[in-house]
Amino acid sequence: MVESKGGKAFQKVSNGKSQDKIWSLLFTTILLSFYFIYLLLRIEPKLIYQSQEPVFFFDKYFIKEFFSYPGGATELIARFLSQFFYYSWTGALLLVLVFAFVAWNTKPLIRSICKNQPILYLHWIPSVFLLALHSNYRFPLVLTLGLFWALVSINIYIRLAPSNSTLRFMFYIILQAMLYYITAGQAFIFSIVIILYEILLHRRIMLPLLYIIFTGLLPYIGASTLFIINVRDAYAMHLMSYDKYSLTWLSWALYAFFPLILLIVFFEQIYVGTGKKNENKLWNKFLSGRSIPIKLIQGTIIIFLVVAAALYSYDKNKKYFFLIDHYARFEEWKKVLNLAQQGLPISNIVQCQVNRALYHCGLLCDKMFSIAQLFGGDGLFMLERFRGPFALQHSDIFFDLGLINASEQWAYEAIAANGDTAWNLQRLALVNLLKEKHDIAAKYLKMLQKTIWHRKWAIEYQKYLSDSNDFWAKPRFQYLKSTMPESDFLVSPTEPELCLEELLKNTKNKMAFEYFMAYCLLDGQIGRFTKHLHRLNYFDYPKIPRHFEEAMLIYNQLTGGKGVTLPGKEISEETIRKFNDFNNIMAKHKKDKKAAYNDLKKYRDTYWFYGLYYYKPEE
Amino acid sequence: MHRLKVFIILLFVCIALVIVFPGCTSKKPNLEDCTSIERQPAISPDYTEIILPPNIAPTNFIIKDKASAYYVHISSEKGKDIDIFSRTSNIRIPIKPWKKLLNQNREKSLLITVFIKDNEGKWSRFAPIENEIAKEEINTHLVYRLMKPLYQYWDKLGIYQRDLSSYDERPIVLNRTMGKNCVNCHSFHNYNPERMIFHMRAGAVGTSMILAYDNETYKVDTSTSFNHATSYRSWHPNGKIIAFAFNTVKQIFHAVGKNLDVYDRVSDLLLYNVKTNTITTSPKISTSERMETYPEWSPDGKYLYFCSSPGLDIYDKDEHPLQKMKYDLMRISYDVEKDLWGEVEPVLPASELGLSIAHPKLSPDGKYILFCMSKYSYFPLYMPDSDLYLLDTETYEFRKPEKLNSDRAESYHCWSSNGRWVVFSSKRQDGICTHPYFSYFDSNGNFNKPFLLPQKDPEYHQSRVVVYNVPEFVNGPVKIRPQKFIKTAWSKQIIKAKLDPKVGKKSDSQTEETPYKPSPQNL
Repeated sequence: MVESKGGKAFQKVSNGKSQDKIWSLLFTTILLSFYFIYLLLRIEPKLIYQSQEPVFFFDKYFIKEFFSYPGGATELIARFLSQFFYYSWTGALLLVLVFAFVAWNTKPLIRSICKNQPILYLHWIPSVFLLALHSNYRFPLVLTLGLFWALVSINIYIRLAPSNSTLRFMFYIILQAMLYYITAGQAFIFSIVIILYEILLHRRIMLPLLYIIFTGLLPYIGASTLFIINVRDAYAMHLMSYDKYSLTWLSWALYAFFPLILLIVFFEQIYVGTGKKNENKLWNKFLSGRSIPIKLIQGTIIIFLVVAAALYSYDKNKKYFFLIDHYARFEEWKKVLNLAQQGLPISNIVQCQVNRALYHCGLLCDKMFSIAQLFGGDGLFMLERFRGPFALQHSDIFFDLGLINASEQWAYEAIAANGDTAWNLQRLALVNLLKEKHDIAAKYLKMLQKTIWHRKWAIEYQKYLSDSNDFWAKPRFQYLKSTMPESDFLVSPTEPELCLEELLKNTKNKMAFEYFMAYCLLDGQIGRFTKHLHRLNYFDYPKIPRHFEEAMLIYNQLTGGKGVTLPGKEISEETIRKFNDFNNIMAKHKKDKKAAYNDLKKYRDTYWFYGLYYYKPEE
Repeated sequence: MHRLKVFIILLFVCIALVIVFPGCTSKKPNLEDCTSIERQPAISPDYTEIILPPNIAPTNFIIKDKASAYYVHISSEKGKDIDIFSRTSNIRIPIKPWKKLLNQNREKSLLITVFIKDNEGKWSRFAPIENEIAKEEINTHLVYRLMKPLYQYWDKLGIYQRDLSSYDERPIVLNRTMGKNCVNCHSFHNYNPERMIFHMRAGAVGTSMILAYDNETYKVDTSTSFNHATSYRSWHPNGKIIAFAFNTVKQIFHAVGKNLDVYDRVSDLLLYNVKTNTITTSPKISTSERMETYPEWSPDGKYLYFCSSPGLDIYDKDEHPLQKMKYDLMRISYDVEKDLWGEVEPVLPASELGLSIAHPKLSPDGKYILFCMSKYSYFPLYMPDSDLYLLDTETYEFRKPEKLNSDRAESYHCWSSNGRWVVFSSKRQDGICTHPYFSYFDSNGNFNKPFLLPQKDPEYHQSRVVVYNVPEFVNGPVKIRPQKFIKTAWSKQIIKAKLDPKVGKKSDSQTEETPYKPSPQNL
C-alpha cells in the first residue's frame, strides 16, 4: 500500500496529537493526584467547613430566597457543595473536581485563539491560583464557581455565537444577563474576555462597544428594576467581595489571567505570523514545542508553580487554629492538648479551647501552667472583641458550665454572626431540651432534619420531645442539669467571669469551681482563691491539685505563715521541695527575675513561674 | 384502526395520570357510609371557632389526625361549596372559590367538615368546625418587620408587606441592601401606605429616619442638641406632626428563667414637624424626673397618651431597679394650632396595681385603649406575663380580654382602620418567635378568639424561627419601590432636623447609645 505525502503528514499530526493527549492525561493524573493528596493531608478541607460552617437546607423557603438576587443561584450551589467539606476526603475530591473543571474550561478558551496551544499545560495555571486561594480556610467556594460559570459562558459564546452582528449582540445580551443573574459581578470576567476576543480576533469595534455599554448598564438596570439591591453591590457583589470575605491580590491575579492570556497568546500569534519566529528559536521551542524534553520542562514549570503556590499559601498557624477549634467542636480533648503542646502560637481562642480541654481531661488544676497562659483570666472566657466573631465557642463555655441561658444567648449571637449553621442549631436544640422548652426545640430539630450531616442526630433527638426520660438518662445531660443554677442572677456579657462565683453556689458544679479557682490564679487574686479553697472538699479530688498547692505556698509566704490549710489534705512534699528550690534560685539571683530566668525554666509549668513572668497586673 | 390506537393511548395516559397524581382526582367519600366521630378534628394552626374577615386569605391547615386520605368540605349558606381531596394532611384551600364563598356569606357561618379515610378504605366524618364570617373587612395589607430572635447582634432583617387577601409577601426594606444596618420602628399616617417612616441605625448608611411622604422619600437626621436619634413614634392625625420617644436602651441577661430584659436609663418625648422639619417638646413630657415613652395620639389629635415611670435616680443603687420600674399610662392635651400643652394627667396608674403598661393604642373611634401590661418594665416582648388589656376611655374601667391572651408574651398590636379588627404579636406558639394574630372586636366591646396569619403552607410558621415585629395595618400596598428607599438610604442628602429655639440643650451626645450591634466580622 502506498501512502501519499499528505497522508503521512496527516498521520504525523494525528500521532503528535494523540501523543499530546497521552502526555496531557498523564500530567492531569499526576497534578490532580497531587492536588487531592495535598488538600487531603495538608489543608484538610474539614477545616474549611470548620471555618465557614456553610449553611444549607433541603427546604423550599431556604432555596427560594437565593433566586431573588443576582449571584444567589451560584451561592446556593456553593452552599450545597460546601457541605462536602464536612469530611476532608469529600472536600478534597470536590476541590480537585472544581479545579479540573476550571482548567478544562480554560483550555478551549486558549485553543480558540490558537489551535496549537502554547505550553501544553497552560490551562492548568488557574488551578494553581485556586489551590493557593482555597488554602485560605475562609475563601468561599462561591467565587470559584462563579469563575467556572464565566468560563463556561465564554466557551458557549465562542462556539455558538452567530456571525450576524445583530444576532451576535442578542446572543451576548442573553448570555451576559443570564450569567449576571447566576454569578453577579463575576459576569464581568466573561464580558472583558469576550470584548477582547471580539476586538483582537474578529477585529470588530462597534460590537464590543455595544457590549461595553450593555455590560456597564446591566447591573444598574437590575438594581433599579428587578432586584432589591444597592447599585454599588450590583457591580461589586461576588466580584470584589462575598459576604465577609474581601478579595485578595491572588483573586485579582486569577481574574486577570484570562484577559491577559488572551492578549499574550494573541500577540504571540502575531509575532509568529510576522515572520519573526526564527529570531528567538529557544523561546518558540519552549512555547510551542511538543518534544518530550520540552513537554517535561513545561510540566515541571507548572509543577514548580503548584509547589510554590502550595508553599506560599500554606498557613500553619491558621491550620493549627482551626484544627484546635475542630477538635474542640467534636470534644476530642486529648487531641487539643497534643496539638497545644507542639509550641505553636497561642491565640486567645486557642487558649480558651486548650483550657476547656484541660478541664475536660481533668488536668486544669494540675497542668494549666504547663501551657503558656498568655491572656490571664481572659484565657478562660475570651477577650471581649472575640466573643462576637466566635460566639458559638463562647456559648460552648457556658454550656459546659451549665449556664444554659448564657449559652443560648451566645448561640443566637452565633446565628447573627454566621447564620443558621448546623452547629448553632444543634446548640439551640440542646439548650431548649435542657430548658424543657420543647416547642422551640422541635423547630430547631426540624430545621436540622433538613441538613445533610445532622439529619440523623436530629431524628434521634426528636424522640426526646415526646419522651424526655431517655434524654435525662444520658449522663451528660444529667450532669448538666445538676450543675444548672437554681436561682437567678444577672450575667454580664462584658464580664462573664463574674458568673462563676454565683455558679459556685451549686456544689455539684465542678467546672465552675475549677474555672473560678483558675480565674483567681490567672488574675492574681490569691486571697479570693484561698477564700473558696474549702470547696475542694465538695468534689472527689484525691489530693490537692498541684497548682492549688503552689498557690497555697505563695499565700503562706505572703501572709508570713498564716496561710490556708485544708483539713485532711496536705501539700505534697514534692511541691514544697520545688517551692524551696524556686525560692533559693530567686535568692541566688537576688530576686532579679531576668537573671534567674534560665535557672527557673525547669519550673515553667508552675504557678510560681507564671506569677513571675506572665502575670501582668497592670493589664 | 387509527382511532382505536388514539383511544388506547389516551386511556393509558389517563390511567397513568390517575396513578401518578392521585391527589388531583376528586374522590368524594360516600357520605352515607361514613361513620361519625363526635369530636372536631385537631387542626393546626387552630382555625376553629373564630370569626374571619370576609377578605382574608384561605386559612390552610394541617389535620393532626392520621389517615390514609383526607377530604374537606367547606360550605356556607350561599354560593358554591368547596371540596378538597388530599392524600396528605396538609390542606390547601383554593383561593378563588374561598374568596367568593366568604364574600357571599358575610355575617354567616362557615362550616368546615373533615373526613378521613382509614387504612381499610373506610371514611369517617368529624364534627364540623363552625367559624363565623364577619361583615366588616380587615385592612388589605399588614406591614411587619421580619428578623431572627435578637439579643445583641443583628444580622438580616427587613420590613415586609403582606397582602392579607392572598399570601403575597413583599419586602419594603431589606437591611442587606443598606449596609446591614438595623431598620425598625416603621409607622404609617392614618393607615396611609404613602406616608410612612422607619428608622435606620448604625451600618454603612448611618443612623437616620426615612420619611416617605406622598411619593417622595427623605433621609432625616432627627438628632439635635436636645436629643439623639428618635425611636417609638406616633403620627398625629393631621399628618404633619410625629410624636417620638428617644431612649437610652439597656439590656440585662438572666441566668435562670427568661434570658433577657430591656429597660431604659433615660427616655423623653418630643414632637417632629414633618413640614417645618423642626423638633419641639415641653418639659412636661421630657422631664428628667420621669421616663416617658410610647407616645400615642388620640384619634381627634387633642391628647397625647404615653407611658411614664420615675427616673432611675429614685432607686437604691445596690440593687438593679428593673423589677421596680413600673410604667403608668398618662396623657397630656395638646393644641396643634397654638402649640399649647395642657397638664399631664394619669389615665391608668398601673404602678399602684404593681403592674407596668406598654404600647397604648387607641381604637379609631377613641372609645378604647388596648395596651400591654406586665409585672415590670416597658418591653413586653421579653415579658412572658405580658397580656393585652382593654380600657374604656369614658369609664376608665379596664379588663383583660381572656380570649386574646395566652400564658406567653402578648405584645405589639394595632387596630384596623374600621376598629373591628386587631392584630397583635404573640409568642404563644413556642415562647421565642412572635407571630401576628388577628381578633374580631365586636360592637359590644368584646374580642373573639384570635387566629394566626394564614399562610399558603400551613406548616410555615411551625418550621421557621422568625420573629414578626411591629405588625401595622395599612390601606393598600406600599407602592414606593424598595429601590427608592435604598437610594434614599444611601443618599448623602440628609435633612438635619432643627431644634425649636424654645427648647434648650439636653443631650451631651447626639450619638445614640444602644446595646444592639451589627453582626460581627470574621477575624
